[in-house]
Amino acid sequence: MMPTLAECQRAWIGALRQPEDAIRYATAVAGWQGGQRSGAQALAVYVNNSRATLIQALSLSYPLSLRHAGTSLFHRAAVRCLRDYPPRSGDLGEYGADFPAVLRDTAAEMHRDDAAWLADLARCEWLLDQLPRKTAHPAWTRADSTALAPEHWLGLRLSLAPQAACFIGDEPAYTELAEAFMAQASDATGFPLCEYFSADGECEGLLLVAQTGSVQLLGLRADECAWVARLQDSPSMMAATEATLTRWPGFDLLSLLSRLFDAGALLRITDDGEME
Amino acid sequence: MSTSFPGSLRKPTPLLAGVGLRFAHLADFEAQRPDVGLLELHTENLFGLSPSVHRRLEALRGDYAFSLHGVGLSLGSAQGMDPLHLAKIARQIRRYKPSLVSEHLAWNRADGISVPDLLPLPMTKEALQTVSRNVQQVQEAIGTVIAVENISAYARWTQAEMSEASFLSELSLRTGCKLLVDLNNLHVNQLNHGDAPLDFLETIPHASVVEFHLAGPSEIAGAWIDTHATPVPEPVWALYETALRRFGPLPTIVEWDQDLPALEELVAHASRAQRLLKQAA
Repeated sequence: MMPTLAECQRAWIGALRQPEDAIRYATAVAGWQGGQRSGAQALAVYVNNSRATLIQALSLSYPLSLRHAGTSLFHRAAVRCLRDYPPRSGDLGEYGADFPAVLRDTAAEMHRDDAAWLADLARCEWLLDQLPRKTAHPAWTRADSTALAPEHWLGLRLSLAPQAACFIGDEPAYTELAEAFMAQASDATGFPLCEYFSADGECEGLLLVAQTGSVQLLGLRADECAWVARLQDSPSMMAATEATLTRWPGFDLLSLLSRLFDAGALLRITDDGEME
Repeated sequence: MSTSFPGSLRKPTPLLAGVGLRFAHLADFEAQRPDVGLLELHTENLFGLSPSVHRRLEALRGDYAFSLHGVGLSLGSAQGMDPLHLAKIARQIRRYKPSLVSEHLAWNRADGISVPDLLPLPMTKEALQTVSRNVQQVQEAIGTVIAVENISAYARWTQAEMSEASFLSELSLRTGCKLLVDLNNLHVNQLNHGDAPLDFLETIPHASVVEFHLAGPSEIAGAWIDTHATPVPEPVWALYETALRRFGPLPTIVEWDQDLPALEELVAHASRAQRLLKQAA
């Protein structure tokens, strides 16, 4: 009995995901022919094409990671990423969110001592790569905040603007990472970068804000990271500030707000949940 | 259902030949403003563009007709297409108001996984029903007809009930979609499978064809691959002349996606196509 179209397509996807099983699939699911080649050989053309296309897509999203990891490690991680995290969208530009973790694991297996650093670099690159895909929205400005009556500050609801992305990792090398990123990203991506990088003391997080033709990087200290992360969970400025002050009594909200205003990284959320 | 394309050709010009505009050529194209009639953009390449690049492309829109050519919608998926992907395409059509919108007779999505390739369909009645349903859904979503392109196939399903040309003819009849004939794909299928390109051209309905594609393949490990990495070979030019005699002068795109030549060489290809279009007229 002839398999249904859905069965045929599932079988083909399976063969493409597990190239080593291609011959088994090609013979088990009747019906592949390759002209002068066997069905398995013909299927291998597709396996090779899709693999090359996806590795190329990752190379375009992660040019710095490729440079620092080296071709061998990068390709090994890319192949593993394709197997474990296949694309879910026909939009190739969306593919690769899981690559930093795969790169870290693969680098660690190859006994690279920079595995964590490479993963951090890749995470930064991913944020940068995805920023143009976000819809820009007018930010809440310093003037807007000045115009707000004091009694309304208690109930103020804020969020990161869509054009901003916050990178808060779990490894301790962020200053070095940010420096490397700042020094090398512009020539690798073609996207003018790094108008300034301001961090007093150790940088534990990185905020990327896309602007017209450029991206601003802001280094965030641990208390600032906590405030931004809390705000991403819930837009209440009061709750985020209280939670941050509980752990970091010296947290300087006004200083952080000032930098976020300058970068155009904040939006005000209205009572009905709309971005203002 | 509208039967027109969303935009109109820039001017009723004999300049029907154009090129696939890839971003590596964008700056040269802006500087040279070559005399071609039509620019093809890969729809998916527009999804993640920065606003500044969108503005640069929109600036070209004033001087050139656009053709949006998709590669990732998966018209042949039994499970249906990705609605988010379709919505993104619709957004780009609203932005660029292309004269032509096209996709491939292929699939690349199953079980929620997408493969970045144009996978061949079994030429069965079931597949025809699936593609017809999906094409109608696309046309309703974007409010216009699309053109569906024949593909290069490196593997084939044996359970075919009809030829690709018959499949496309019936698809056009059922959905009102138009057809985009890629002459290099016919050439590749001839090399790999011994297909007869002239049979294809004789079978598909004259009135449905709205566009031609020209490109060059590469031979890799014994298989001919539709790489778009080489000059258009003479057999493809010969097929093009045959197609022009049968279908008349129609918009034609020269595609070159890998190992890009200088823009001048690409435009020279378009100029050769334009000369043949003029002769056919």
